[in-house]
Amino acid sequence: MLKAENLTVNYGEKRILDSISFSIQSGEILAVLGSNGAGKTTLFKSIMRFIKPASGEIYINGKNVLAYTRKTLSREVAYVPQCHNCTFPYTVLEMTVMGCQSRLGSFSEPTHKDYLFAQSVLDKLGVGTLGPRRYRNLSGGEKQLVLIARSLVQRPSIMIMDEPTSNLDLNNSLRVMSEILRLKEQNISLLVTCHSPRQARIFADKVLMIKNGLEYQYGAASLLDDRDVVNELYNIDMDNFSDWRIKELIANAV
Amino acid sequence: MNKKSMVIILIMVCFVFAFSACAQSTDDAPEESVSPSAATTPSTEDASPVTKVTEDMAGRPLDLPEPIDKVYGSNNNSTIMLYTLAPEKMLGWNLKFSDQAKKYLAEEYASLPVLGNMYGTGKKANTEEILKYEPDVVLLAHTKVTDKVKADADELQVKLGVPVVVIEANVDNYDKAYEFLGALLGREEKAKELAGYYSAVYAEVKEKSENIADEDKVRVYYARLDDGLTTEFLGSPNAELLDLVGAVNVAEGGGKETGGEVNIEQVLVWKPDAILVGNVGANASLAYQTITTDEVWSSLGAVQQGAVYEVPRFPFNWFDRPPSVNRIIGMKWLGYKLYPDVYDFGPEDVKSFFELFYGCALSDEQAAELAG
Amino acid sequence: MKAGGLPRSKNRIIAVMFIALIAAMAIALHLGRYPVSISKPLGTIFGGRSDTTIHSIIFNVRLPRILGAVLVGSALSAAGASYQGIFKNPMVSPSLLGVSSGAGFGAALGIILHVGSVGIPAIAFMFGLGAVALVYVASRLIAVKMDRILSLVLTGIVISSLFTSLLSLMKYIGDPYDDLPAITFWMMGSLADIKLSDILVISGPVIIGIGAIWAVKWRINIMTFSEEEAMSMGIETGRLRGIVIIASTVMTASVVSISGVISWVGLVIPHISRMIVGPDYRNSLPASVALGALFMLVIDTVARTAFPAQLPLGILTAIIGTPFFIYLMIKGKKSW
Repeated sequence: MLKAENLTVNYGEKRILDSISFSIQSGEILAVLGSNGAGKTTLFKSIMRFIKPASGEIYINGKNVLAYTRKTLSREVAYVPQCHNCTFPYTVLEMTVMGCQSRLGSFSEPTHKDYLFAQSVLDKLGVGTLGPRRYRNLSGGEKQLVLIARSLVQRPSIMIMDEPTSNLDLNNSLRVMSEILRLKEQNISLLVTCHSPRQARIFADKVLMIKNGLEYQYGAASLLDDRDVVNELYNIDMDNFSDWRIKELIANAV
Repeated sequence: MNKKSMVIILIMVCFVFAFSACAQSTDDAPEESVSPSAATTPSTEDASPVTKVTEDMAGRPLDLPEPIDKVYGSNNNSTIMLYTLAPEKMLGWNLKFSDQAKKYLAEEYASLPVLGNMYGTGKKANTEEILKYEPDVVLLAHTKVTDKVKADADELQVKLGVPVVVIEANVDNYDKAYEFLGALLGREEKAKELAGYYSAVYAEVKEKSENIADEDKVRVYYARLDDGLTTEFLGSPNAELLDLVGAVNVAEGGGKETGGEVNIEQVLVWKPDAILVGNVGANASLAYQTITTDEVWSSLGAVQQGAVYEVPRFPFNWFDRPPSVNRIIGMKWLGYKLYPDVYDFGPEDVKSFFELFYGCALSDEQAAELAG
Repeated sequence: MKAGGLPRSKNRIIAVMFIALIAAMAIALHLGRYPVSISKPLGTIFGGRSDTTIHSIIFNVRLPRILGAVLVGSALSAAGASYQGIFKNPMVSPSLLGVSSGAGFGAALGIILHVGSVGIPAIAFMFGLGAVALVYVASRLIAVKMDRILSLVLTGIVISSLFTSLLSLMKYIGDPYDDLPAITFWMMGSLADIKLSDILVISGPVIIGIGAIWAVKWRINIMTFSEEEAMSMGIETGRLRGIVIIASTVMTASVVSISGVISWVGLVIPHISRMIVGPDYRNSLPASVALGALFMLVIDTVARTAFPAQLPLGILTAIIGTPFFIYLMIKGKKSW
């Protein structure tokens, strides 16, 4: 499980996050919402120990995140980036097996067993046949699933996913979302940033809304039912939009 | 933000001006001559410089001032020639001399400023600096005058606004070159002396080399740079003295007729009878040491028999780089080294050459030392 | 649905490459301007008596050059391959952080000062290391405002051009008849002066350097992804980068100080090996080492055998290598 207490993060003189507190139990999905630049990226960078907070603590499975080394942390927490292109033409299996790095000795390299495990993870995600294909030639959804598979090879108890469905078409989105639900069933704590309040409302257990670095709202996903809360979060001024189609969109987004 | 960048720009501008101001005030301090054992008797002639020359050796028409008192040699060959003929008209040298080289130059001329080259190998001269000295003419001596040389001379003339005189001065025509230069500078008598000396030496060398049968010709490898593995390939004008004295340049370049690198195996294949080591710089003997002590070089008969000769290099190289009038004594020296039975050469030759050309009186020991 | 399994092992191809390398070394021993009969070279190596000139040629001329070429080729390729990984960019070469410009300046300085054949590589080596150390330190100062890799690359460019200018200064100061051509020839690359003692000196750093990169080759795969991804998978990116940079710099500085500046190898050989065995560093690193050594060996043998005049290595690498590389790119539709 993942817990943050009064997390405050600065970048130079600027305060990015101010006293954020939340927790995620096993099998819970926390959706993090906020406008661009609100601090969502900084949040998970602090959890992953990419940056150091100015004050406050983060606890991973009861232990302060600063007490972990990179390697030991990678056994607990996995990070799934938005799907991207990779520089070199690795195959899907080659990429996936890289997740085992967290459990390798200092000079060890993956063994046959590690490859079999990676393949089994790909199979479970329904992309097993993609193993020998080059990652760069996949569709967006397949790429995202492979990244999830790679993270799963780390056997984490916590997964942080950065906008997993933002670039995907509907079918791929659905595939990924079903996968996320399956992860929940495996008792993995999930922190997912996303841009769709509607999606968050349906899938998440809890939501954390960040506005200007401050914890605007935190609690059950039902908080999103209040349209004013959502408008406030994104600074939506209803007076700006008179067209009925825009109003329709807004109505369906929540 | 604006203020900051303005300050930075101002500082940069100040720097630029400061540097250019500094550069203007640096002067070449006169260099000190080391050993006054070389007696200096510069040749002078009461100058009545009425020049009768209307075109140079490239056929370029000349419009010359009268009198011609200040001459700048744009490249090493021309400056050296000028020094031998009319040193009092010299404005300066092209290259810096080592202290050892200066011993062989007349003191008052050794301390002339180093102006740089406007042509050929060497450090580029500053045009404005040259013009400060107000040269009457500029000399450009080349071993072979081609259209390109003429074009370069024309260009230089435009750039300097001073008449540029092209001289063709090579191993086979120093007499004509001296005659021409003598007429130009009003030094006909001295020129005759120098030309005469040259003609005698050249004729002798030519005759003797023609009499050397092909199978008796000495095969020579010309070694340059610190490892001795740079050479001038067969056909290169830089090594023409070898041809002249009746030797053979072993470095067949497979078409390449300039300088270049070789590897040691190739030298072994060529099996030279003698090795000529010709370097100019401060540690010129590094190559000599390498060649005479290295294990692989020692497989060569030439090394085993001690036929490794360092080219004398004072005050200028006697063989090449620059290919100057010093080669007059150089060809005698080389001939003797390679064919001691055919050529005559000894300290007296060195003494007379230095006396005549450089106005430098050498002792017997100095002459012997120079001639190696 | 299960499919695939383990990726097909490339070990056989890599083994072939190394065998080809050894065969090439043996063949190269027989090639050279001096006529040596077929039986002699191997006979001499393995203890037979023979005439001293031939003995000298085999041991003091050909063997050092062959070993030198192998060391140079393998070091440059390993350094280039590892840099392309940690800088996440297939277009970088080992000279990215200034080691070549620094060494070039050092050599020129040594030539001007006439320190001889022992001093010149020593000074070149020092300045090669020094340039990279300078880049490392200076980049830390600007790294606060931008990511580490960008600051390294930027500083590398700046320091490289600084040393290139200083090299030009050396050319200007030097004697135009002797120093200038010496510097020019050095910069074009040559193994003509290499001795067995040089081999002894540089084989240490090269073997250690390649060994260090070999030990972390698997982890370099992970470094090719974003910093965050690599860190999240448990890699100490700063430390790994440091190890690779130090190993590459030491190797490259050693070989450049002996052979002069040789470009192309460090950039293109890793591409070729990736084309053949794929991007996984567990395959592409050994392949780069073998191919780099083999390529350099071929180049040096051509340089010292084709004509009486010795050809500069730095020129041959591009002239011979480029058409070959283009052919490979056209033939396979593979990417690098």
